[in-house]
Amino acid sequence: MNGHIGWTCTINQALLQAKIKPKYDRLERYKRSVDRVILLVYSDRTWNSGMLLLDNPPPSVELRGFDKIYLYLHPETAVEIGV
Amino acid sequence: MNHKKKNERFYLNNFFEKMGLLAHIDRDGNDSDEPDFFVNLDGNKVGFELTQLFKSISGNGSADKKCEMYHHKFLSRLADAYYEISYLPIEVQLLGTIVSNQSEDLNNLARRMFETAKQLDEGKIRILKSISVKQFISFGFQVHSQVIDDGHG
Repeated sequence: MNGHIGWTCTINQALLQAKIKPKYDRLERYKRSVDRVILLVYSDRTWNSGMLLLDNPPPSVELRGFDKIYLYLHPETAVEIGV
Repeated sequence: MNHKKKNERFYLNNFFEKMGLLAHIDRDGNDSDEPDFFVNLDGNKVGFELTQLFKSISGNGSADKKCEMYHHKFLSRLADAYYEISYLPIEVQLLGTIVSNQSEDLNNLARRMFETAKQLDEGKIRILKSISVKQFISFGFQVHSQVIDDGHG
Protein backbone atom coordinates (compact mmCIF):
# COMPACT_ATOMS: atom_id res chain seq x y z
CA MET A 1 0.00 0.00 0.00
CA ASN A 2 1.46 3.32 -1.01
CA GLY A 3 0.04 5.55 1.72
CA HIS A 4 1.16 7.84 4.52
CA ILE A 5 -0.28 8.69 7.90
CA GLY A 6 0.91 11.02 10.61
CA TRP A 7 -0.24 13.05 13.60
CA THR A 8 -1.34 16.62 13.14
CA CYS A 9 -1.81 19.50 15.55
CA THR A 10 -3.57 22.82 15.30
CA ILE A 11 -1.64 26.06 15.16
CA ASN A 12 -2.52 28.17 18.17
CA GLN A 13 -1.38 31.55 19.35
CA ALA A 14 0.97 30.14 22.00
CA LEU A 15 2.83 28.06 19.40
CA LEU A 16 3.16 31.09 17.12
CA GLN A 17 4.20 33.45 19.90
CA ALA A 18 6.90 31.07 21.08
CA LYS A 19 8.29 30.88 17.56
CA ILE A 20 8.07 34.59 16.83
CA LYS A 21 9.39 36.01 20.11
CA PRO A 22 13.11 35.72 19.20
CA LYS A 23 12.36 37.55 15.94
CA TYR A 24 10.80 40.49 17.79
CA ASP A 25 14.00 40.72 19.80
CA ARG A 26 16.17 40.92 16.66
CA LEU A 27 13.98 43.30 14.65
CA GLU A 28 15.79 46.44 15.73
CA ARG A 29 19.04 44.99 14.39
CA TYR A 30 17.43 44.08 11.05
CA LYS A 31 16.06 47.60 10.65
CA ARG A 32 19.56 49.07 10.54
CA SER A 33 19.85 47.70 6.99
CA VAL A 34 16.28 48.07 5.69
CA ASP A 35 13.21 50.10 6.69
CA ARG A 36 10.55 47.48 6.10
CA VAL A 37 10.86 43.94 7.40
CA ILE A 38 8.29 41.22 6.78
CA LEU A 39 8.21 38.06 8.84
CA LEU A 40 7.27 34.82 7.13
CA VAL A 41 6.39 31.93 9.43
CA TYR A 42 6.26 28.79 7.33
CA SER A 43 5.65 25.12 7.70
CA ASP A 44 5.94 22.33 5.16
CA ARG A 45 2.82 20.17 5.29
CA THR A 46 4.38 17.62 2.97
CA TRP A 47 6.65 16.53 5.86
CA ASN A 48 5.50 14.84 9.04
CA SER A 49 7.12 17.55 11.17
CA GLY A 50 5.01 20.19 9.42
CA MET A 51 1.60 18.54 9.55
CA LEU A 52 -0.13 21.52 11.12
CA LEU A 53 -3.74 22.57 10.84
CA LEU A 54 -5.05 26.12 10.71
CA ASP A 55 -8.23 27.23 12.48
CA ASN A 56 -10.74 29.47 10.78
CA PRO A 57 -10.22 32.30 11.58
CA PRO A 58 -6.47 31.79 12.01
CA PRO A 59 -4.80 33.02 15.21
CA SER A 60 -3.31 36.50 15.05
CA VAL A 61 -0.07 37.87 16.44
CA GLU A 62 1.13 41.39 17.19
CA LEU A 63 3.24 43.10 14.55
CA ARG A 64 5.49 44.88 17.08
CA GLY A 65 7.42 46.73 14.39
CA PHE A 66 7.24 44.18 11.56
CA ASP A 67 5.65 45.55 8.41
CA LYS A 68 3.59 42.39 7.98
CA ILE A 69 3.57 38.87 9.37
CA TYR A 70 2.44 35.99 7.18
CA LEU A 71 1.85 32.34 7.85
CA TYR A 72 2.54 29.99 4.94
CA LEU A 73 1.60 26.33 5.12
CA HIS A 74 3.40 24.96 2.09
CA PRO A 75 2.01 24.30 -0.43
CA GLU A 76 -1.64 25.13 0.16
CA THR A 77 -2.27 28.12 2.38
CA ALA A 78 -0.84 31.57 2.96
CA VAL A 79 -2.51 34.11 5.28
CA GLU A 80 -1.61 37.39 6.91
CA ILE A 81 -1.66 36.98 10.69
CA GLY A 82 0.00 40.17 11.95
CA VAL A 83 -2.26 42.80 13.56
CA MET B 1 24.80 28.60 -0.64
CA ASN B 2 24.12 26.59 2.51
CA HIS B 3 21.32 24.05 2.79
CA LYS B 4 19.19 26.20 5.10
CA LYS B 5 19.34 29.23 2.80
CA LYS B 6 18.53 27.08 -0.20
CA ASN B 7 15.46 25.69 1.57
CA GLU B 8 14.34 29.13 2.71
CA ARG B 9 14.66 30.47 -0.83
CA PHE B 10 12.44 27.63 -2.04
CA TYR B 11 9.70 28.39 0.48
CA LEU B 12 9.93 32.15 -0.01
CA ASN B 13 9.62 31.89 -3.79
CA ASN B 14 6.68 29.51 -3.41
CA PHE B 15 5.08 31.93 -0.98
CA PHE B 16 5.43 34.77 -3.51
CA GLU B 17 3.79 32.62 -6.12
CA LYS B 18 0.99 31.53 -3.77
CA MET B 19 0.23 35.14 -2.82
CA GLY B 20 0.57 36.40 -6.39
CA LEU B 21 3.23 38.90 -5.30
CA LEU B 22 5.45 40.64 -7.81
CA ALA B 23 8.68 39.99 -5.97
CA HIS B 24 12.19 38.72 -6.46
CA ILE B 25 15.08 38.09 -4.11
CA ASP B 26 17.86 40.65 -4.57
CA ARG B 27 20.36 39.08 -2.21
CA ASP B 28 20.81 36.99 0.92
CA GLY B 29 21.22 38.75 4.23
CA ASN B 30 24.19 37.99 6.42
CA ASP B 31 23.48 35.71 9.35
CA SER B 32 24.24 38.19 12.10
CA ASP B 33 22.40 41.51 11.84
CA GLU B 34 20.40 41.41 8.60
CA PRO B 35 17.10 39.76 7.70
CA ASP B 36 17.36 36.48 5.78
CA PHE B 37 16.70 38.06 2.37
CA PHE B 38 16.53 41.44 0.71
CA VAL B 39 13.61 41.43 -1.68
CA ASN B 40 12.37 43.74 -4.37
CA LEU B 41 8.63 43.84 -3.71
CA ASP B 42 6.63 45.89 -6.20
CA GLY B 43 9.70 48.06 -6.74
CA ASN B 44 10.40 48.55 -3.01
CA LYS B 45 13.29 47.14 -1.02
CA VAL B 46 11.97 44.95 1.80
CA GLY B 47 13.67 42.60 4.24
CA PHE B 48 12.21 39.14 4.69
CA GLU B 49 12.88 37.15 7.83
CA LEU B 50 11.83 33.50 7.78
CA THR B 51 11.16 31.08 10.58
CA GLN B 52 9.97 27.50 10.30
CA LEU B 53 7.18 26.15 12.46
CA PHE B 54 7.12 22.53 13.59
CA LYS B 55 4.38 20.64 15.34
CA SER B 56 6.61 19.59 18.21
CA ILE B 57 9.46 21.65 19.59
CA SER B 58 11.61 20.63 22.51
CA GLY B 59 14.53 22.49 24.01
CA ASN B 60 16.76 20.99 21.33
CA GLY B 61 14.46 21.74 18.39
CA SER B 62 12.04 19.45 16.59
CA ALA B 63 12.81 15.76 17.00
CA ASP B 64 10.65 15.00 13.95
CA LYS B 65 12.66 17.42 11.85
CA LYS B 66 15.98 15.94 12.96
CA CYS B 67 14.76 12.49 12.02
CA GLU B 68 13.57 13.73 8.61
CA MET B 69 16.91 15.43 7.96
CA TYR B 70 18.73 12.23 8.83
CA HIS B 71 16.54 10.24 6.44
CA HIS B 72 16.94 12.87 3.73
CA LYS B 73 20.73 12.70 4.02
CA PHE B 74 20.65 8.91 4.03
CA LEU B 75 18.60 8.81 0.81
CA SER B 76 20.88 11.39 -0.83
CA ARG B 77 23.94 9.29 -0.01
CA LEU B 78 22.16 6.16 -1.19
CA ALA B 79 21.23 7.88 -4.47
CA ASP B 80 24.87 8.92 -4.97
CA ALA B 81 26.03 5.34 -4.37
CA TYR B 82 23.34 3.93 -6.67
CA TYR B 83 23.93 6.27 -9.61
CA GLU B 84 27.68 5.68 -9.37
CA ILE B 85 27.00 2.17 -10.67
CA SER B 86 23.59 2.28 -12.33
CA TYR B 87 22.12 3.75 -15.50
CA LEU B 88 18.52 2.87 -14.55
CA PRO B 89 16.45 5.63 -12.90
CA ILE B 90 14.47 4.49 -9.88
CA GLU B 91 12.31 6.15 -7.28
CA VAL B 92 12.96 5.17 -3.67
CA GLN B 93 10.75 5.67 -0.65
CA LEU B 94 11.98 5.15 2.85
CA LEU B 95 9.41 3.66 5.22
CA GLY B 96 10.01 3.49 8.95
CA THR B 97 13.04 4.67 10.85
CA ILE B 98 16.69 4.01 10.17
CA VAL B 99 18.70 2.70 13.08
CA SER B 100 22.09 4.07 12.11
CA ASN B 101 24.27 1.38 13.68
CA GLN B 102 22.19 -1.38 12.09
CA SER B 103 22.23 -0.03 8.55
CA GLU B 104 23.67 -2.11 5.76
CA ASP B 105 26.64 -0.67 3.95
CA LEU B 106 25.29 1.81 1.39
CA ASN B 107 27.40 0.45 -1.46
CA ASN B 108 26.10 -3.08 -0.85
CA LEU B 109 22.55 -1.83 -0.76
CA ALA B 110 23.06 0.19 -3.96
CA ARG B 111 24.51 -2.91 -5.67
CA ARG B 112 21.50 -5.04 -4.66
CA MET B 113 19.14 -2.33 -5.85
CA PHE B 114 20.92 -2.14 -9.18
CA GLU B 115 20.75 -5.93 -9.62
CA THR B 116 17.01 -5.87 -8.99
CA ALA B 117 16.49 -2.84 -11.22
CA LYS B 118 18.33 -4.67 -14.03
CA GLN B 119 16.15 -7.74 -13.55
CA LEU B 120 13.05 -5.57 -13.71
CA ASP B 121 14.37 -3.77 -16.77
CA GLU B 122 15.18 -7.02 -18.56
CA GLY B 123 11.79 -8.49 -17.64
CA LYS B 124 13.41 -11.25 -15.64
CA ILE B 125 11.24 -10.77 -12.61
CA ARG B 126 7.51 -10.36 -12.47
CA ILE B 127 5.92 -7.29 -11.01
CA LEU B 128 2.84 -7.77 -8.89
CA LYS B 129 -0.28 -5.98 -10.14
CA SER B 130 0.46 -2.65 -11.82
CA ILE B 131 2.88 -1.38 -9.22
CA SER B 132 6.53 -2.04 -9.96
CA VAL B 133 7.74 -2.41 -6.44
CA LYS B 134 10.58 -4.54 -5.22
CA GLN B 135 11.25 -4.74 -1.55
CA PHE B 136 14.74 -4.82 -0.11
CA ILE B 137 14.98 -5.99 3.46
CA SER B 138 18.08 -5.12 5.38
CA PHE B 139 19.20 -4.85 9.00
CA GLY B 140 16.40 -2.87 10.56
CA PHE B 141 15.09 -0.98 7.55
CA GLN B 142 13.26 -1.58 4.34
CA VAL B 143 13.58 0.22 1.05
CA HIS B 144 10.85 0.07 -1.55
CA SER B 145 12.04 1.01 -5.00
CA GLN B 146 9.90 1.72 -7.99
CA VAL B 147 11.18 1.80 -11.57
CA ILE B 148 10.03 4.99 -13.23
CA ASP B 149 8.28 4.55 -16.56
CA ASP B 150 10.38 6.51 -19.04
CA GLY B 151 7.62 6.44 -21.66
CA HIS B 152 9.42 4.05 -23.99
CA GLY B 153 7.87 0.85 -22.84
